[in-house]
Amino acid sequence: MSAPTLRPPAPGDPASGNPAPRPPAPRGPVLVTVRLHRLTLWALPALLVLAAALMFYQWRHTAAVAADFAGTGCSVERTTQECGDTVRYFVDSLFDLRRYLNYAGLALLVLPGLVGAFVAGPVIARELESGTYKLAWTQSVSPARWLAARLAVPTLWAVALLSVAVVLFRWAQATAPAGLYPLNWYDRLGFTGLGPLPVAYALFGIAVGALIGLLARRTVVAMSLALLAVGSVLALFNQYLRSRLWPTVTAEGKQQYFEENAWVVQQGAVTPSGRRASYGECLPIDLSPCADAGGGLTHFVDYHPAAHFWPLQLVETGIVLALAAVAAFAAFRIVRRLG
Amino acid sequence: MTSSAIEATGLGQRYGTRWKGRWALRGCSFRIPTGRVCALVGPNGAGKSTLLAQAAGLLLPTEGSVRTLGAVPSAARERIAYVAQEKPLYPRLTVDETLRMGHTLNPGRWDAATAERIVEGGTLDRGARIRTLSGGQRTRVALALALGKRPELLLLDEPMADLDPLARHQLMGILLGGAAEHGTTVLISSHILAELENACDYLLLMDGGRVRLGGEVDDILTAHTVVTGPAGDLGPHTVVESRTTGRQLTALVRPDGPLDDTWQTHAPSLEELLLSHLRSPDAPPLLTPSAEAEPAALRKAVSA
Amino acid sequence: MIEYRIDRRSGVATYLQIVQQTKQALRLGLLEPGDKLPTAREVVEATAVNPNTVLKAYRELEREGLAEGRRGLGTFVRGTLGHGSADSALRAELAAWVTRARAEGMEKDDVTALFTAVIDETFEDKAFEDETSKGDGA
Repeated sequence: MSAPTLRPPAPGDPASGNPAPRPPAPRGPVLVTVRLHRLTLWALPALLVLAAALMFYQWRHTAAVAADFAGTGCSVERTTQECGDTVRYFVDSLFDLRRYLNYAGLALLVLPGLVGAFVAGPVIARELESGTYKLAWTQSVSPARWLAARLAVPTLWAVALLSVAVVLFRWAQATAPAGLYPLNWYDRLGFTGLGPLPVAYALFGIAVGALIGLLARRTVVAMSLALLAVGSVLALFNQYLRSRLWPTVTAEGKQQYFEENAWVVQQGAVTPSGRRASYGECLPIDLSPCADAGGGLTHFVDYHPAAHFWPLQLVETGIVLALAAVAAFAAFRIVRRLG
Repeated sequence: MTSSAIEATGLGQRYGTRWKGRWALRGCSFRIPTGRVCALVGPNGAGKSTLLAQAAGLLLPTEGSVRTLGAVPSAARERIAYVAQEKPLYPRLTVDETLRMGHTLNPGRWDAATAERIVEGGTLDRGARIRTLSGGQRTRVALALALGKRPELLLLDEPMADLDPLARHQLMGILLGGAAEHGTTVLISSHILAELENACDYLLLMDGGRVRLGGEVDDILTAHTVVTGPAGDLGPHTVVESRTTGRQLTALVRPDGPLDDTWQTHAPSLEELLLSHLRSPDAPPLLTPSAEAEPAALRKAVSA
Repeated sequence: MIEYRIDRRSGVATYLQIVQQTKQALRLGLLEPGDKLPTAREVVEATAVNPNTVLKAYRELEREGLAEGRRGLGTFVRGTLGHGSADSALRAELAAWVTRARAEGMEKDDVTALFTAVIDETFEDKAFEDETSKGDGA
């Protein structure tokens, strides 16, 4: 028995008109992703603009106060009775700017984790949890393309916004009025925010978030795990790995010498036999095995000069991006199985 | 021989691990020719949803294989539409945005007129967010999305459960009208046969993860007879179910040759037939010739 | 144009209901040769019955010479039913008979039962002939 063949055309029925074949729109899933998450996508640049405005306002204020202060003839070092309030006002506004800059550095440290949590939870796991993946994966778009679109949008967003944020942060840091309590390039709050690392960590967060979201399939669980994953890698680099990513420079001598603005990784004394010892072993000096014939200590310092900032940044960026690539590969493998 | 809309060979699905798993489906082999409206019936937990999800390419079979429209399901994705039982939709999109999404994700296929007709059939605010809709309204939007894709194979998992009788009749009409016009194959599951009896010309009865009956409704009906008479031997005929009341025996049989004159016979209704099968899980399965999966070896030989 | 009403509980096969309703419309003059029958799609949308059921009914009408499918146009009524003046003469006779039955005190149900019984008796052999000729024809 054959299938029905009686299919009379129905004139005037718009459904019967054959639509001209259109080229497939690769942007389709991307548009849908934007539509689904437009609130978050709008909120992020809005927050950035707000933060930048606040920062700029404080920067202008501090600069103005500093200019006024220079004209008063007062000095922070030698305070006279009359200058007391002026100096206090000047120092306060410097501290305010310092605080803002610290917040900004902290934000650049935390944002990648939040981006990861967003991807893991609302973008990926929620679809699996609520079952909307059954809708998404049975349109004319494969799960792999679905995932690609779901990741492409936050990726573009994060790269663009965080790049702008890093540039602003560097600018604010570099043009801050003289006398500002310095934030060293190797400080935890400063180091990450002064280079491409926030972008790299955000990409890692997105990739690992996708992987976790696909595996955990629960919004809240996935968000927590993604935060944990990004946080752990960040902490690992901050606490242990970063200083080892590039060979340190060693200085030895009777004077405790190192370059200005250097990141001291390790220091101590050298015994006459050439062994490195901690200062704890060598003090007090009379009893110590460290003192040489001259009776003094020979110091050693392992440090990163300021020139190591970029090599350190780039090596860490490379490693984090490699981790991101591994996580992304694993995530795509999971959905590829379904074609 | 017409081509197959769905062909399953030794299909099985286990949920959970190899050691602590549960088979939702096992050893299913059958075929549904194209152009049919097929009822997928069976009690809850029979494996209907699992089978539909496999055919939609959402589940990879643990064993065996399923082919849809002559390809693996993922390769036929553009030509298949699927509505899951819980009618998943994005709750924050509006009705209009949902339809636009259908257009965006199915470029070149989207039939806006059909989709809008389905949505407009109900009292639905097109600007309302999905999460504010009632169950029946969501069903309407989900069906609009599926039919708007103008699929060659439409897989519907309990689509009518949330609808009032009027909407049910109307939507079933649109669905079947589309099938009549485009030759769409429809596989529609339900545990209530009555809502499908007139709409379907093909049947797949599932129970306990197995296919019990498959084929044209008419052929399945004519293959069975209800016999009544004095208790006795039913000879070479396959007995699906028999009951003895006093000295009288009533049985549903698949006659193998002419029946003895001592038996009074009548044709069973479809519902009677299905209930008999569900009450007798040991009755042998029956697939009419058009519902039998070709053995893989034969298929290879033909294509070679 | 004819509209079909499908009664799921009547026990009569759905395709037969369509055939019977079409014939009824022909008898009553609601359909005449040249009239277009609704497309399968229209019937299906209105009644929510399977498309193949409608096609089966239309094939049956074609087989009986009452309709013909024109490619790309649809299905059209071809034949007529009923017998013109003879028909109205029979009707008058029947009406006279029913009036008499009522005058003799028969209820509506009694009349219907009697009428059905006689029809069944008269047409039993005829129906059998029809079945066998169908078998030969196929």
